Amino acid sequence: MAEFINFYLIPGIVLGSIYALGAIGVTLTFGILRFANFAHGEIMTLGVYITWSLIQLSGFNSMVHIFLLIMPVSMLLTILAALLIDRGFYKPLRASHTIILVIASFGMMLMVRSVTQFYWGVQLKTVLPGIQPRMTFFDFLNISAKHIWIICGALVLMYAVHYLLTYTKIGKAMRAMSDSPELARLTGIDTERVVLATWIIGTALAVAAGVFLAVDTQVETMMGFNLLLPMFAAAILGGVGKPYGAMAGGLIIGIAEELSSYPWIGDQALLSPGYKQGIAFAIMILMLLWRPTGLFRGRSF
Amino acid sequence: MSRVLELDNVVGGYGDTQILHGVSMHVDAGEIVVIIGPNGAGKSTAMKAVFGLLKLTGGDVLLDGKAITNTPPEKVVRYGVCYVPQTGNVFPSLSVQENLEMGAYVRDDDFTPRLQEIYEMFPPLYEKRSQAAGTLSGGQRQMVAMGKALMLEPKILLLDEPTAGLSPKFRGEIFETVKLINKSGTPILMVEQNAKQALGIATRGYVLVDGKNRFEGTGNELLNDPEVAEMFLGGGKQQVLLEKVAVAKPVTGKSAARKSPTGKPAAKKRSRKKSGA
Repeated sequence: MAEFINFYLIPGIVLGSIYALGAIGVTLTFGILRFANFAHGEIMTLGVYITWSLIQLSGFNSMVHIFLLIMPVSMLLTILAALLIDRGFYKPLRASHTIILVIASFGMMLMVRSVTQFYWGVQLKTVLPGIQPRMTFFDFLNISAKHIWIICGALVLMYAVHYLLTYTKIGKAMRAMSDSPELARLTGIDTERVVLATWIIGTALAVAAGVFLAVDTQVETMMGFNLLLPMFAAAILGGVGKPYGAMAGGLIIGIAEELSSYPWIGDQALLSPGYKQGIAFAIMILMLLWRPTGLFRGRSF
Repeated sequence: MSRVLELDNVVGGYGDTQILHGVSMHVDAGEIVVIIGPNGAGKSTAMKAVFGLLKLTGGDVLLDGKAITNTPPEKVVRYGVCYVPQTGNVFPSLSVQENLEMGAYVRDDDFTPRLQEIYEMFPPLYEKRSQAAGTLSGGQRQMVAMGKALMLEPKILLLDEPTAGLSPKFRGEIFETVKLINKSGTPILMVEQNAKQALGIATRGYVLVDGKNRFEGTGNELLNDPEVAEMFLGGGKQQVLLEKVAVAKPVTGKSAARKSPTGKPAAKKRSRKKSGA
């Protein structure tokens, strides 16, 4: 039991939290800007490298400093980059057909990745050096401090998203525009402002997800891309355009991936950990077959 | 009486297709003005012309005597014109109250008193204020749409076929609501298929045919005009023809789907509708 919780369930929740944060951005962009943003993963990578550079520059490398000081700054810088990308590349295409925007975002993905690889190089880097302390609760619960940070951080951010969407004018306008962009325009909602808010929120959450992953594992230029497909799977599972669906979808997929290698039958892992990533796709395909609108009744394809 | 809205010999359409060939009409303070006419006469298009939803190549739209021709909708709203489209006129996943709040999006002042007034005008909406608008009945959804538009205390309210697709009972309710809104001081320009009932509550009406003015007069004048009656108010040849077309349409749709070898076009249409919802 202790083994199940410590080595399967908790890592699953950690991974799920990371997927969930990333998937919110994917689903918001899809709902409001109406395209699947392939560059989302690279924005995440960019945020992680900016964070890494800030850590090197400032010398702050404790988790308190990384999460509470460095991460907000790198969020701001990455948001700036995302807004410049929107201004230069997506805004001129705003009225175009969805597929044009999807392909544009694909090109953007390649460009951002190349810039990252060119500037920072392709060697692995680490954010948190050394072995992290683990904490024990109730004699059997054994969690490393970074996992507590990640889970709590994700909860705080998800609550912030919930608060924004439910109680603020701009958040309600975002949901309205996701419902019907035409009616939003007829109602006088400032659609460009909503688009701006979408990029800001999506990017901030992507940076958080990326930094959480970097703290948990390491920094490499393909990390965002590797996360992109599980994030899409999470968004589809939850219902495209539905932020709460993305949260639920991310957690389900993260936990399912980790639990798939638990020795459910006998004492061998049910699935070799090498197949972990396949779980996200299996869930995505089953969901598309069974209920294409997702758990929260989002948009269908 | 002061003139709120005026269309002066408006010409325009979508792309190369010209729909309006010179439409003139006006709405004065306190009036309910109804536009009727056969399908494709440009009734809704004339209304959209006011709201900047199509490109006008000739004529002028005047609000309080000032030209607002070809002003984009998000600006027209700020000038105090509210438009309720025929379909998709509420945000389905937002609650009733959130829909009303979005109606007040361009207001910077405190709109809570106005919200109270709207709830007093539409008591059923207060009961369902935290329910998602998409789960309401057609009639109530129409109320949300109107309430949402009224949040701005507009100078004029444009309604595009507010009773389309409603049962006769709800239709009556909506016409009562329109009268109520008008009594509270908002002039209304309305496109309607149910010509008889609409003219019954109208101060004045216009009949459009082929993108041009054909008749105009007070509600009663039009109701009693034999030519108008023959064309639009039932019994006339055209009405029978229109009904035939209305009945024939779905059949042709189905047979077209059957004709296509794979049935794909029909399926595509359906899925697109879904994705739009």
